[in-house]
Amino acid sequence: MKPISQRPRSSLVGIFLLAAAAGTLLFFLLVPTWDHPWDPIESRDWGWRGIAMNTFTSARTRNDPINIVPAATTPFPDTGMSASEVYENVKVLGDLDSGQFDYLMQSMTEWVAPDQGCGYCHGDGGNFASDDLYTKKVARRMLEMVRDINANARHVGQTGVTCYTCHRGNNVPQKTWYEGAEPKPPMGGIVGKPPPWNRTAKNMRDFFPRAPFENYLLDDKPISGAQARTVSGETTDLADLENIYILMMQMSEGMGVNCNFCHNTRAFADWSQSTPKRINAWYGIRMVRGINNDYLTGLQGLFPPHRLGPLGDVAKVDCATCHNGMSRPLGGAPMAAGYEGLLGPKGDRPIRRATAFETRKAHQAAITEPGVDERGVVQAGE
Amino acid sequence: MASFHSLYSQIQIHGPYDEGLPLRGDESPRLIKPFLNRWIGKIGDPQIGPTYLGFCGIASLICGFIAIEIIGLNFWASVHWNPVAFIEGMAWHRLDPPEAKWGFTPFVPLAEGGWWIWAGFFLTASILLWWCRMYLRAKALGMSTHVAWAFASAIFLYLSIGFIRPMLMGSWHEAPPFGIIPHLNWTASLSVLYGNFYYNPFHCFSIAFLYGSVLLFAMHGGTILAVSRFGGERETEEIVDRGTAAERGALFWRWTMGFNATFESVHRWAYWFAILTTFSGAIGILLTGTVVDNWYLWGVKWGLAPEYPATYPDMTLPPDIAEQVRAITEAPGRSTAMVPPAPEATQ
Repeated sequence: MKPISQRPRSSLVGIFLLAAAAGTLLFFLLVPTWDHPWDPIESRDWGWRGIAMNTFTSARTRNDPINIVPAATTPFPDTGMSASEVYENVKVLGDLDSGQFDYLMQSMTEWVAPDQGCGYCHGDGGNFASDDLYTKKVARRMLEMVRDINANARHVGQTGVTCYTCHRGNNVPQKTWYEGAEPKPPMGGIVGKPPPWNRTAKNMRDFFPRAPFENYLLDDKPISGAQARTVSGETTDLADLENIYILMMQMSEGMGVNCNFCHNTRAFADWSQSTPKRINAWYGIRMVRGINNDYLTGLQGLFPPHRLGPLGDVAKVDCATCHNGMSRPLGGAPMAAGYEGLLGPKGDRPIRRATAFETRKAHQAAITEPGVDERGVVQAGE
Repeated sequence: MASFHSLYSQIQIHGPYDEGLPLRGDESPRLIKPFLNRWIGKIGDPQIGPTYLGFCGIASLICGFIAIEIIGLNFWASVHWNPVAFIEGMAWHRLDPPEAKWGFTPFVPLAEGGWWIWAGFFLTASILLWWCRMYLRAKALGMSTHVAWAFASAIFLYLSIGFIRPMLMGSWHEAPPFGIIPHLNWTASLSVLYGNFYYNPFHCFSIAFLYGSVLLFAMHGGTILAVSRFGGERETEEIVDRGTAAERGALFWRWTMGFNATFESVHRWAYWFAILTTFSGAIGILLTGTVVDNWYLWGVKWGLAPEYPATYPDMTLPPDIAEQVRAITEAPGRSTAMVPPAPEATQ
């Protein structure tokens, strides 16, 4: 028979449990970013009343410094001379009035390299015509991209984008993605495929698999078929489905909206129950593909190694790159207004082509079609 | 302050250990030398131990250990044995079932899902052995085996998800992966793939029984605590007398909702609600993909999914998208009878 001999041990256990509970509470109060109770959550209904197709927003996202529209600047007066008359080696904006050209150059500096200044692209030697720095070559291609987007991207419409829409004052936009390394099974292949993403992840967002981005924002893998088999009429592998699900969640997260911003979630696939936002998103996905394939991937050779991902690929964009947690980037501010140089020619440009249905098939056909050599002999396809 | 000293009081009894019934000849010895803990006494009996494992318990723990090892080592290997990355990615690590091409064969290379099958095998063995233990311990104490059968209902749901339904579908690939976030993704994806589980009536039943269980638990727990000041636990002694805790509890519910369960039947209510939560869930799982391909369309067919007025009557699909929708829904060899009509495409 033992009387109450355990009391000291009991007290220790109790103190430990209380401390652990307090620690856990503090962790969950302090570590995540919370919407404060005094910041109201705004709700907007996108569907028929009572079916809870709501989007919730809060002032926290809107007032995030990254989402504040920079103060407007005054355009320079026109000089009556084109940029190519005033400057050497102007390849994209040669026809632009040199006043507009200077204004755009100054703005670009503010948008992309506010700390480094003109020298970030043009070097410190004072030779502005020089193409020595990779940054200048990249900037030129990016200018072509912005002009294409503003002229041809249905997703952007009249709102217009500038460098700032993505860069927000950074040399490289904050939210980008790289391809994950092809997984190599450890232990001589006895153990299954490792996910490629968890070694390079730096934050929560990075931890999500890259496959969805690679499949749908780089390759033209069809995103349809996620909904039940009878609706879509095709069988989707559950693994593909998970990737589609993750892509959609990344889209939601990137834009700060719920699924039902676009879909009536009771029947995701059904366009007749969707909101018009889904049409814009459909074009957005294809615009992102166009940007990644036709503009960014082509720049791979220009970048120094420290700008490249683990596989040596350039940083690529997804919805979050521009949207930064808002359903319209920078609250839908008409960023490109007043910049003639940012509106390119309309027509058969990469962004326009990217929205055409089944571009992948045309693309594939061009790749696999056997080439004809000089002697007229058809060579075997790769 | 004096309080009524009953089994339903917060008084802790610290005294000689309760050694329990003597062991029978064929039973293995009990483990853990008993000790008393004041803090444990605040949420239950202050005495910890002895416990009884026996053959089933030991075999169950071994199988469970093997399953966790297989899963954990696969996770760890997937980050090339980096301990930091192992901890960091704990929520995201995954051990996937074999791909669809393997069908339902048990012979799958380890790296391509074989480990998943082995982990599942040992986990299932562990759970079933634990079930045997529940059953045998109840028998050893001369109890009925209600707890074991309630547990069996949960095991039936587990097996339906991970084994029986994949078998009916002819593919391991239909089963969920091991891993915290991956299995949550699977849950969401599977619901979407089969047309929204919220229109699965057995999913509805399962939810109703789950919430019903919670309600019953609250009602019963609340009632008993409320009458413990009258010695409510002594139900058999009280059941024939007027004015006792038992009668007050019964009267309370007859006054508030016109009907009262008895001290006996309330436990049957709770028992069957709990059992039917997992059982109806399992039926819903087993019907998915085997009998019903798309629960939303099933709901439309049977009037479960109402049609709402169009919020955007003027919304028309641009030709690009309409072309894609048509290409998918009118693919050759596919029945389009149940496909919701796509909006008219106009320029």
